[in-house]
Amino acid sequence: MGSSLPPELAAIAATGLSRVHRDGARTLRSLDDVSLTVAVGEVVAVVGPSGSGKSTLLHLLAGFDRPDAGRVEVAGIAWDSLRGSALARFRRRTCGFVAQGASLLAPATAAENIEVPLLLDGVAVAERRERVTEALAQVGLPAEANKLPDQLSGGQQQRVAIARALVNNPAIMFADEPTASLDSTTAIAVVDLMLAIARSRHSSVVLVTHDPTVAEKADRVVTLRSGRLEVPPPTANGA
Amino acid sequence: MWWLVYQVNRRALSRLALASVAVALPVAVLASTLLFVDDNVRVMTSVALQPVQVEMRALATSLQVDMPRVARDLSATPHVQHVDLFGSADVVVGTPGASSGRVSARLYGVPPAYFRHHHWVRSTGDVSRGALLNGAVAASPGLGGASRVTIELRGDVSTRVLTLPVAGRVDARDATTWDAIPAGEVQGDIAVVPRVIVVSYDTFSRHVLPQLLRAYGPATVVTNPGLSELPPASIEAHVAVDHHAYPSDPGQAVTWSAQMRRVLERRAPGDIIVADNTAEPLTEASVDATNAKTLFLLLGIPGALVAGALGLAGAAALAEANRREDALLRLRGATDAQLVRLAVNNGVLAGAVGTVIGLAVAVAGVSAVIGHGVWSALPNGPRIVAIGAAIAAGAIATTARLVPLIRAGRRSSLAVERRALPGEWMPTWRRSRLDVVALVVGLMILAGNLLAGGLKPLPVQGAAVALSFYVLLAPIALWLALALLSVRGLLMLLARQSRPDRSRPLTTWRSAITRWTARRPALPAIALTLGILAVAFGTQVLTFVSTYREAKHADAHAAIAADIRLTPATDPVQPLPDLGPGVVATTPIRFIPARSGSDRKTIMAVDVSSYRTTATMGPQIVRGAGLDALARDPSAMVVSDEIAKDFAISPGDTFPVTIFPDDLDLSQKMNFHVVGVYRSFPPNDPFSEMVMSAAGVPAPVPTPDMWLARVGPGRSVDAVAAALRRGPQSRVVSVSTISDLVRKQQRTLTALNLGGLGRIEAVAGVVIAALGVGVLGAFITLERRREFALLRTVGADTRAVLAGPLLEGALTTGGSLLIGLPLGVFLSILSVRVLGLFFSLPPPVVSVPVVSLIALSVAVVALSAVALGLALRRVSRLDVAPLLRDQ
Repeated sequence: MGSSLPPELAAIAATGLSRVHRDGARTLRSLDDVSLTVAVGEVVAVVGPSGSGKSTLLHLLAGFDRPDAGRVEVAGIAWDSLRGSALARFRRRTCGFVAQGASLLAPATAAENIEVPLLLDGVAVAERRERVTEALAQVGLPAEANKLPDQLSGGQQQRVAIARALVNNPAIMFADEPTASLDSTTAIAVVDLMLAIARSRHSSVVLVTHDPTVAEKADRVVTLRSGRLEVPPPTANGA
Repeated sequence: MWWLVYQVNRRALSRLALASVAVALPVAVLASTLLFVDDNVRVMTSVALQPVQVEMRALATSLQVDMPRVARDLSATPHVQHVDLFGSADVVVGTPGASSGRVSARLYGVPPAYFRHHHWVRSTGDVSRGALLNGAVAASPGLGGASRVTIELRGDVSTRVLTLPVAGRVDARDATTWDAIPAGEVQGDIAVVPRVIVVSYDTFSRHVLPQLLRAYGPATVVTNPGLSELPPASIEAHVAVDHHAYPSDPGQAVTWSAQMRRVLERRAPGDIIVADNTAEPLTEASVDATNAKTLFLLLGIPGALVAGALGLAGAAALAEANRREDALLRLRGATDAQLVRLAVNNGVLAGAVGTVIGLAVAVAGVSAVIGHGVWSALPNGPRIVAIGAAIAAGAIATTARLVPLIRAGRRSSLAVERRALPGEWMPTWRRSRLDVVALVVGLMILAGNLLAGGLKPLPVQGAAVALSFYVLLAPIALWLALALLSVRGLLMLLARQSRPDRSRPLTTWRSAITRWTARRPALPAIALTLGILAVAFGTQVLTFVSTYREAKHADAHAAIAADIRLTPATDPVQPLPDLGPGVVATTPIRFIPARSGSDRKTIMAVDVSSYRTTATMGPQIVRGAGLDALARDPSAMVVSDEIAKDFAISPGDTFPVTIFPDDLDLSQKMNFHVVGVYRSFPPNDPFSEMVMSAAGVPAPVPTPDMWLARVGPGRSVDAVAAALRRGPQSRVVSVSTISDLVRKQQRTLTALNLGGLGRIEAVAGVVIAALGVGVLGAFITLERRREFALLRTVGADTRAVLAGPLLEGALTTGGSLLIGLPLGVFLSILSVRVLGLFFSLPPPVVSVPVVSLIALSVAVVALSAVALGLALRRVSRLDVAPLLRDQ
């Protein structure tokens, strides 16, 4: 679906997002009136200090959380218009997600982990095998197909997670600190791989990271500070 | 510290509740078993005392003893309700002026109040107005219509003692106490006295006793322990003791009764010897009680064990929460020692609460099953034992819980869940090969028992039976072994089928989650183990109870031998009246008193041809011939296997027997040809040690003691019996059926109320199996929340997310039933074989209670579904975002 989105349609259109978290009597405003548009095929990095609301924004954009105010549309569909199986199907076919840390299913092999979205989507066995094999080859792990997650290194696990996120050819991919637990060399390699695959498919990417080296690989970097988007200083050409 | 305990538990009441339930479960199962046993045993004393006619029999050591004074002294003893004077002597009864028509009889002298105090002897006249004759005397030639009778001492016919008017009839057929041969401190054999005449004790002491003194001198033979005949004369005081004074525990009652006997003897030292008629039934009840306790406990202990295991499994869910709390407290400066103390105090609090809850549940459950308040019905002793056992069970469960609680401070016990490599889950029982050890132990017990000649029905009962109960440990060991072995085998199979390096393409989502379940089997394996143990336990108890009930019914059937038993209601015996169209066949049964050497026996005389057409259950001949041989040869006899063993006789031998040994007019020696040996020759109640053909009974053939009747085909036995009870026949015969006998039988182990225990244990089994699945669901919810969130990120809907836990629940429940049901039936077969000793007939191999087991299965499935549903209800409303942050 990723490449099929018309270029004039925003991959993500978020307007006026606010989110308040409550801990007993205390309230914490995690996001405050954040608006963000991501174009088709655009890679956006969200940066900011710890507790600035990066992950909260990503979860709202990916539809895992509901805003207290504001609205999120993904590929022209508002998350709050979807429920139950329709929501799951839309997410499966439109979005890929790479979570923080260990994000693979423990009892499933690398190949089976990648296969899960296809299996849920009812893709035929032969096509599934083909696409899983291709995905494993793209992330450079063709020999690790039958290994369980705890037989893989951290970098290998993240590559499998990326392959799983992209195997359905989603229009948008969300990644929450995908390199947090990796050493810097592996981190760069993993991000390069992820963005290369996404760009080759014209998939949009929203990437949360605290690593500037990773962020600079994005087409655009947005900074969150205390739940608000920081307006970039005007450049010399007025851009 | 207790302040901290209070604060911790105040904020986490659900954690305290779960920890308390973990302790309450084994306490409830153990305490309910104990309370049920105690309630059964409590009834045993009163049941044992019910048929006792006279509790204590004070026998005068001399005919010169002033028994009225002794009776007054005995009456003053605490717990004595009343004392009745009693005298007896062998006499000859005739009619005034007639030189012929005199018959020997036993004369009894009792005060008029005796009939009021003892309903087992019935009279139609006032004994203070003259003599009461029994049917046999009244039917004797010359005495039929006599208005006056003469009484002479036997052997001293020239001395007429007295002449009395006939005041009425007496029916003393049930007065076995009158015919008990004095044998010292306990009741002796029962003589069969055919002819009875009763006069008032006042008449006896004024007119008979002086003659007895003249005839026999002051000495009596009442204390001769080897006595095999009734003494020619005796004077006694029959002492009724308040049944409520006996301790409810039969063992204690035996001791109390022995003390009571000595207390009575000390009231008239030297003048009397007191025979304790309750000693034998109470001793038998005491042995029964011991056996019942062992039986109940061995049936109930597996339930307590599996409940304890479930409690521990459930409490392990707290380990993670405790680990986190300990970590927080460490950050705030708590030391390891303080954390251990906190854990111990928490455990003690939960243990105390759990013990109280478990005990309360046990009391409520048992009370509901038995239909009355068990706590108020029990004396203090059993209450203290139940409380002590509950506290002990609670302490053990608490201690066992504390180990993982303390270890939780160092690592999460749930870490096993994260190790998903096949074959890695190695709990203690797998590492220590507990299944194999238990199997070997169980088989060794069975082998030892087989080598010792066990697992075969033996006629010997009593203490020897209790010794065999260790064999019941074999089913417990095998229960554990086979359940664990089946889980081990299943795990090996799953590990082989789900190896990652041999993965085949996934076909469906269900195949995927099945494969993944096989790769991390720890949680379902724990639940499955608990489920198999619980279902097998419940099935074993239900099947055992069903088999027990069927065997009991077969015993009752053998006791009656036909559809209906008709016992003469009047004395003298009337001819059998017309029984109406419902009855198609009848056969008379006679019991012929006999003596072989000094042993008194009873021979059952059957009319072979009518017996064949009437009896609904035939004899079980173990050697030689049966009815055919009896029909061919009037002098033929079949003997019980016990007699064959005791007298070392077998088919082909001649067996000399004196019949009617207590009737000088009829007594004669006969040589019988032993033609067969039987284990059962119905009717077995009363059990006859020998059987002969009625054709071999010398004339005059006595009137039948009972008749057996067969109901016509298609007719209801109960309906025909009810019609007979309503009809005119009821004036002549009393009617009883198999159902009546099943209801009446309360003595011995075969009459234990196992039904209630079966219900309690089956419910426990269902609850444990279902809670096992509930614990599985709770663990899954706790441990796999992040996995569920990850599944959401790849587009799984609620159905797909829940498919895994539901599959695990279904596999656990289905596996528990598939393995537990046959395992339970197999184990009950073993238990029944062991308990074959308690049945007069060999019990059936097994009686599978299909309806009960279906109900058990449905209950397990339904309750498991509810428990799993409750545990998983949060999964469908999972908040994904926080879980994605939580690594």
